[in-house]
Amino acid sequence: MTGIAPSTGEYLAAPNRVVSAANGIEYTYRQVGEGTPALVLLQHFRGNLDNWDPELIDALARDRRVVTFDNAGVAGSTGTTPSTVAQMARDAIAFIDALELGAADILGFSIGSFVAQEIALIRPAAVRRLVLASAAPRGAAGMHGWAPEVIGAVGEPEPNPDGYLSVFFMPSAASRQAGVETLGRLGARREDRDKPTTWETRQAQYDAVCDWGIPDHGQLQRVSAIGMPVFVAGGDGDPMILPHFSYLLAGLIPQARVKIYPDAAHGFLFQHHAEFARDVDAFLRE
Amino acid sequence: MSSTDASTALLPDVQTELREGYAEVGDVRLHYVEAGDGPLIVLLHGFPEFWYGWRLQIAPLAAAGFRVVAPDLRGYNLSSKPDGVAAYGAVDLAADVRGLIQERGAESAHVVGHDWGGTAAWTLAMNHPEVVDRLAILDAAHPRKLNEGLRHPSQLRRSWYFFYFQLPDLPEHHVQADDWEFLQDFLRDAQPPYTDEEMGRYIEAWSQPGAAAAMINYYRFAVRHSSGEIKPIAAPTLVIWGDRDRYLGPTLAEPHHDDVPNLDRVERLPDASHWVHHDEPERVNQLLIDFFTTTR
Repeated sequence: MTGIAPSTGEYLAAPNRVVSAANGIEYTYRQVGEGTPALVLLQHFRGNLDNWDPELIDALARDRRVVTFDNAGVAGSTGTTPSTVAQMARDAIAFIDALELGAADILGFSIGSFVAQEIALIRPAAVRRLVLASAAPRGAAGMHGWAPEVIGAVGEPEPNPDGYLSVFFMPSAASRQAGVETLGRLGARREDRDKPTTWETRQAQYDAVCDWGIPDHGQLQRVSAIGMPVFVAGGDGDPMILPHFSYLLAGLIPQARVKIYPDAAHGFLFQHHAEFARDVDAFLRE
Repeated sequence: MSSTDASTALLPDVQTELREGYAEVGDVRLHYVEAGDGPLIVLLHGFPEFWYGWRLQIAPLAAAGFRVVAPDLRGYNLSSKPDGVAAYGAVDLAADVRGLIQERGAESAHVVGHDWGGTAAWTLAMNHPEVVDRLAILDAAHPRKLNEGLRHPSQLRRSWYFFYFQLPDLPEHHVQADDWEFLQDFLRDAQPPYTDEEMGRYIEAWSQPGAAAAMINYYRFAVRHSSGEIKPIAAPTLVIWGDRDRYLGPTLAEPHHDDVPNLDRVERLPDASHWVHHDEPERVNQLLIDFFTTTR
């Protein structure tokens, strides 16, 4: 095991909270840990508050306040899920404003990493440092929708754990084992669970993913305007967002570094939760 | 009474005759192994073991002057495996044990339970106190403590498999993958490690048709239902606990006083894992023999 001390954040016990924002949306969120600036997390495709591995959240929250939330229209929040990343970013900014977080650190995962890039471009003053996990820049060739086996595994009307494992974890024994442990932890909260995400959310988010992935070389230039330090991280076998997009993104952002985690797929940050939390902590402390 | 299952000489160097049989108890048929003569001790195994989990206890307890019966709990190895989740509640497990004690011609017994067998034993002592002389529990939380523990994040994190097993169908397929790697891994923190021959016996038991689903259904029932009414336990009770248990935290060892007013003590073995009866068999056997001879 790792040298990380037992965590105190206890995401599994964190109550669901609600905040009303200026855009009229009531956002459901949780928070653990203390400290400024807060670290705000942006969730993956179809994910809700219960889809964050509590082991990762607690590790991240050892020395800082970590905030997870459902964006507009997603799971426990009110409103309608928009079908563009740009609108998701505006909705996320409204949440950050409602909590009066000032300049926060932001960690976006998968589609959440798209939203995080957009926030950094629309409202740079709201972002101190940026972590982009399983990420790709807008307009990159090869990102226009996911491979058939990927969307087949995670895009079905009823999400299924086999499909989840096949995209978020590798076929190796070690990664599979990490996957079932994550699945167990994701189910460990028995009371006060978040609402499941709807089919409407799935459709709107996938529209946004495809829109983000329309090949357009000119769009790649956008992220060169991201001026804050950025940590780009991914799994070496991610079938959903291939590892080379991490390198592309890190190459386009002036102050970016990249790390690819071994024997890991889309859910590398859950599989390598201790190492990833250490890396994020070190990056945010610099 | 000889059989292939018991006669594969789990105790090659011990001259203990093992008797094997099947007890019809209610609507299930329980396979058991028996040895020795004297006051009855019932040994109840946990997940993912079977009667063989007690291989280091059976001969010493028999040699100490007891009749020892170690069943396969329902769903395990050669015992009946009723379909569905509803058949695997603790109340039914406890009723099985009461029936087994009676079927073996005894009015009551000393009862030892480890892990899920401990849950069965706690429940038996609550629901059928008349059949429990003395109760010994190895690394099994009292139902109230387990309930409380599963609400606590640090214990929830140790018990992720409780919730992984809630998923439909996937777990029973997954546990069989790579020669039962998932379940082998469960046993891997035992010290000394299980030998290949021992592991082979477990794999044989897990491979019995329907066993994997039944074993997992214990967890499905437990998470979906409350533990039922908790009544004070009259029997004198000894708790033995391996403090290096990676599944059940050390704070789960001590039951609430009002639930177990006749608690003799909690004997903690600081270096033992969850598999305390395997890790420190001589110590465990002596504790059991001392505890059960107090009244003789």
